Amino acid sequence: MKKISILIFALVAILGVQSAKAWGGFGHGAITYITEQHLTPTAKAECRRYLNHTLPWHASWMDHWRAVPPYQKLDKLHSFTATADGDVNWDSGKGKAVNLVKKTIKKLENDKYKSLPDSVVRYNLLVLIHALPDIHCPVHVSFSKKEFPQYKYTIRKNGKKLKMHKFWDASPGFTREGWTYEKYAAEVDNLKRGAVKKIVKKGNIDYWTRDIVKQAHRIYDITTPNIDVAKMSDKKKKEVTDLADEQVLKAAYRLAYVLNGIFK
Amino acid sequence: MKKILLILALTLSVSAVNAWNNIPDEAIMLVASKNLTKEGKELVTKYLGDSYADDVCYIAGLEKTKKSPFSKEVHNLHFDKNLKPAKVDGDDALAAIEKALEVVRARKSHTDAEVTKALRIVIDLMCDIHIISNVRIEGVAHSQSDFSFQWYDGDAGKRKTLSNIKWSKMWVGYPQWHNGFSPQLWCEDLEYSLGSKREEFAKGSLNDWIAQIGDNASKFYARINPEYVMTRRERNELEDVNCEMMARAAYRLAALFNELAK
Repeated sequence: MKKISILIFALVAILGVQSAKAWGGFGHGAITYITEQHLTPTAKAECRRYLNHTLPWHASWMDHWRAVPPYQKLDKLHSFTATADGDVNWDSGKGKAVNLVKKTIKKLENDKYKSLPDSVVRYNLLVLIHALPDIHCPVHVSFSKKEFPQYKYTIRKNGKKLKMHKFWDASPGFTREGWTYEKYAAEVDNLKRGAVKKIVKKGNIDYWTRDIVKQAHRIYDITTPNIDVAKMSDKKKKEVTDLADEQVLKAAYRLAYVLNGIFK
Repeated sequence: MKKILLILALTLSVSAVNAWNNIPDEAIMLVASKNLTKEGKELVTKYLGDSYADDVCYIAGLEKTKKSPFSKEVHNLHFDKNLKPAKVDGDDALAAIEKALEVVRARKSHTDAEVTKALRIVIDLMCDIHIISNVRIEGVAHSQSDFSFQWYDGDAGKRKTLSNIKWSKMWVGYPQWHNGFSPQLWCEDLEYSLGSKREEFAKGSLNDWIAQIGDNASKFYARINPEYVMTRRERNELEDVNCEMMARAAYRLAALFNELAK
């Protein structure tokens, strides 16, 4: 019997393995779907022309290709490290995903994309539509063990250990089994123009990252050590989806702002 | 102990998956509906209405309630050694499609319900025959049933891990990479990315399409077998092949309906 238990455990472990992909496929798709709804006709047409698909189709490109040469350098550029004062650790090389977003925008903005080969513009767009949403995922903000030792813990699902990272990656789809992007957008994409303007803040990426770091702290208040996500109260579930939706919308509006600025 | 092992074995021995699910099939039908002539549209509307959610995956639905008149082989397309269709009456997708088309052609002598059923069979199997793992070729042993092979989640470096995957699951699993896509969004994407090839894809007759499908699948079977080790790059790139097959199914379905409506 013991042998069988070990066998079952091993099989469950093998079949249940999933690599950490920020926001998961659903979250990335939902963000880019909402982004498309906020693009100018010119920006939407240009994005589709370069990508030969809708934005949601390519939303997880960086996850699918991160382990394939020559794109392996992207593997470590999905997150960033924040300092205790809420800033980003730019100079230590820990800005990672935020630096990638900044550099990518720089390559394309001010009409620079017009003098680049189509394949280069395409690659940079594929990176941008994934990396900018990635930095909005709360678990993609790393806090140093030294400054925040209290953040290193796991939670539970039906009694079994679950990584915070895995749970929050999938948080936009939490309690929304089988939803389409259209249904998700109809539910959450309803902010007034003034609120969107406040989120976008004229493309100030330093402001965005400080705001992202601030929101990232919230997950440790919502999902406390050993909380069982399968037994959460409705109120707690709402806290999870409210924060996830807030970050999804911010990512979508900010990505739309950036793309509209590039393709004027 | 034996019982536990048997349950475990049955749970893990997943049979071949021979269909995309409802969402890609409905998307294919939506793309087809956007490429119908006036007469084609009238035919489809008369027998299927304007919404196709209940019309796709018709045989799969019957299979679930054990009411399918066909065997599981009906989802597959059989070829002989020379890549000529080797129809096994009643147990082959092409044979079932042709039989259903006869009903639609002679629709005046059939009830509306019979024609609707025939159209649903055509939709379901036109989707299925465009799944590469549903092609069986005489003399190609590994094409006769599903098989597993290995693939690398990465081509080199730390993330180089080797995993098993089933041939059929790889092909039908691609649409799940886009798991929030509605049929409408799929339709929009397929039309945008491959709409410019609609004439090329729909060119010719059912026989020409079958020949293209057999020829295409034989190239994959020549390279990929149970000993094959696939790279992540290759698996990523094959998604485009799957996507193209979905578009081919859609534009061919439209051409078929337009021809039937003449």
